[in-house]
Amino acid sequence: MKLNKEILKTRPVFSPEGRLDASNAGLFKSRLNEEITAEKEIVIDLSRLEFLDSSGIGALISIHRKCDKERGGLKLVCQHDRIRKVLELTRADRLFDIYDEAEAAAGSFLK
Amino acid sequence: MKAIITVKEKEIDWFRSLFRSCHPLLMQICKKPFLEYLVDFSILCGCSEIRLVTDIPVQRVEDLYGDGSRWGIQLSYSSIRETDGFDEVLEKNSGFCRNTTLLVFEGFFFLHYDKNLDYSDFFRSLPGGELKRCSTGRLSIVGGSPENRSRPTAESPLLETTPLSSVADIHQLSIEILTRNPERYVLPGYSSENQAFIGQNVVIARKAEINPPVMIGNHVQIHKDAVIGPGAIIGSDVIIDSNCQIVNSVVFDKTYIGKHLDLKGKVVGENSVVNPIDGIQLHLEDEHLLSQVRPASPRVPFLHRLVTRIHALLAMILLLLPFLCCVSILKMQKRWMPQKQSVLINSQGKTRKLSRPRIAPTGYIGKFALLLSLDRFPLLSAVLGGKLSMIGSKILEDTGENREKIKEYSSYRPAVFSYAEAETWPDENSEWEIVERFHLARKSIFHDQILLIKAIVNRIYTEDNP
Amino acid sequence: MTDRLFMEIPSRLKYLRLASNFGLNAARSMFEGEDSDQNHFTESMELALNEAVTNSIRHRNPDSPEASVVVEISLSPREITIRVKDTNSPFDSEMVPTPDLDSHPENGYGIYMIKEIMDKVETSREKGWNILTMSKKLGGKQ
Repeated sequence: MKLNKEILKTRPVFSPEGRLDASNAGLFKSRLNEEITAEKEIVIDLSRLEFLDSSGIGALISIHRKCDKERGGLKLVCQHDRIRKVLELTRADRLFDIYDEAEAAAGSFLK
Repeated sequence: MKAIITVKEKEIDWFRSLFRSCHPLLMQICKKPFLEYLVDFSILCGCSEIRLVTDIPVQRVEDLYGDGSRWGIQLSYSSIRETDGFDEVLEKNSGFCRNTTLLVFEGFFFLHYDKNLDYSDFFRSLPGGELKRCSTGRLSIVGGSPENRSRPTAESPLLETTPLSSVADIHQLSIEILTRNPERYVLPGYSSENQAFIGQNVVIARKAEINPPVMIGNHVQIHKDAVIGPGAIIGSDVIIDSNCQIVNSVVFDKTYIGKHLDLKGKVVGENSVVNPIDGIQLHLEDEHLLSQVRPASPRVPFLHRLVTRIHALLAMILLLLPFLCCVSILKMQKRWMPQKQSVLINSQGKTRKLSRPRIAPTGYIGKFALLLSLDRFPLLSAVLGGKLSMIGSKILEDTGENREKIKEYSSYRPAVFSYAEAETWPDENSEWEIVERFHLARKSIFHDQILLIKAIVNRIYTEDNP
Repeated sequence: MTDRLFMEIPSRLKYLRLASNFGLNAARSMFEGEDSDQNHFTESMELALNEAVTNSIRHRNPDSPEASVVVEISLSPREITIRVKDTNSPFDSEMVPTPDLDSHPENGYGIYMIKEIMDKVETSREKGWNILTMSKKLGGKQ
């Protein structure tokens, strides 16, 4: 899985590309955990994901908890029904702030 | 122009606590799901895209409406959190809201409008801001052309809001629309006469009474001596048993209403009767009075017939030897009384002669034969021939009285064992008919297997056998 | 008429994608053409199979590095049945507690998601193999 990073409105936006599943969720989690040591308010843009399973959801929840603990925050960007449905199935959509644009998600930290 | 429809769980909680199996956004008012009124209005205003934004699961809504292509619009969905306000909703959907005038429905309320009026000019002339408000929600415009601030607004066509905060609101709204202005909305069902909307596959017994204004959904059975209306709104997949009276009431989809139940000014769904005036909800524990039905899948009949025939064949193979042995002995003992009867095999009055012997319940062989239900053995060939089922209605003899009875009994399905036997209801009075109708409304392969076993076991434990 | 498809993979996560694509493409072969309703169905089958195979791989007996996971898919015109087989210790899907979704746990969603997606889910055991059988009909939850 490729992990892209860009800065929008002074916040890092991570865009995993490809699949986020049991085979790489652990690696994804460790990479993001490393990033959180530097930046505590982050955005993960799921728009380039082709597939997300419960392991991926678990990784996102874990990262979210770590950001909260560090008094930061995690915002998600989701544009596609396929990924949104997995968030809804696990009720993760009630935990996360989910935006349809990365810029709005990053900008929300400024308010 | 685009529309956002935003509803939160706390706004619809009152409905969910009353009717658990119905999705609140699909709650019917005059048989039209609540959400469809808002979609219709949005399209009337010129919206090409609508987004449903909520903190409640929308899988069922999505399964039903998909991407909105049935209306020629794009329907999308997004999630918010319970604490999100108006600004957060717009922020989380900033991509959707960009560069467009937005019609925003917030909350759980009914919008009165008229499909025959033109709303697009009116909305194009608006500068933006709150349009209408009630205690449970509001309608606003976001965006809007800044030039419109200095121009006079076009005259507003009909646009009013009614809060949806209790069953009384649903009831009042439904009856009001049905009786006063159904022509304002696109309502399902055709109108064969004034103020009567009847759906497809509606079977109304000849002796049932229909008093407009009424609305009846699809796949509805109304049995004899039932009185429907005035002011009755009946959903789809509903069975109304005989001698019921339904006046000024709303019956939701998939409900079975038992015999002699009078409903006046009520809202009924699942196994609950709710009085709109005081909000008191009555759960009826007796499923034969009021319960939920699951409509039979159209594919089941073939599989059902196959399973039935397999059962009959197995029974014939297993019982052939005991049958031959016992019958010979019983005939010698004069405990076997052969009998051929002309019986009704369907509700159209078709008949067939069937062998229905009687076995005297005395002596070891007699009791053993009844234990194995060998008196029913000759009926198995009729099951193989597709004339009978293994479990179903009690077989009715071809008499004048029974011929009259089955004219109003379209679901009559005679069988080797009856549902009443499965539930050990007495045969003497007509109470067994309630049981039969109840189970015929629920027929499924699995359901019938359980009842067949119960009927056979009950025969084993019953002292006196017919 | 039922068509049967078959795949066996070593019980390792690197082959998870292969198995879940198998489910996706098997479900796709039930349709001609493509539309969004079909996508929902086929993607759901991919997800359900993915969760089932993940469970099998995750619970592999550490003493059996050569263990495999078998996926059998039966396709009829209107129904798909997927069987996932493994040689792990006995497993009963009925004994798996439903996760407390409101507390957002990090694990434990697999069987719950399978049950939400599929019409029927059963587990059985035969000659040392756990068999998870799940099926779904076209046309909505029965």
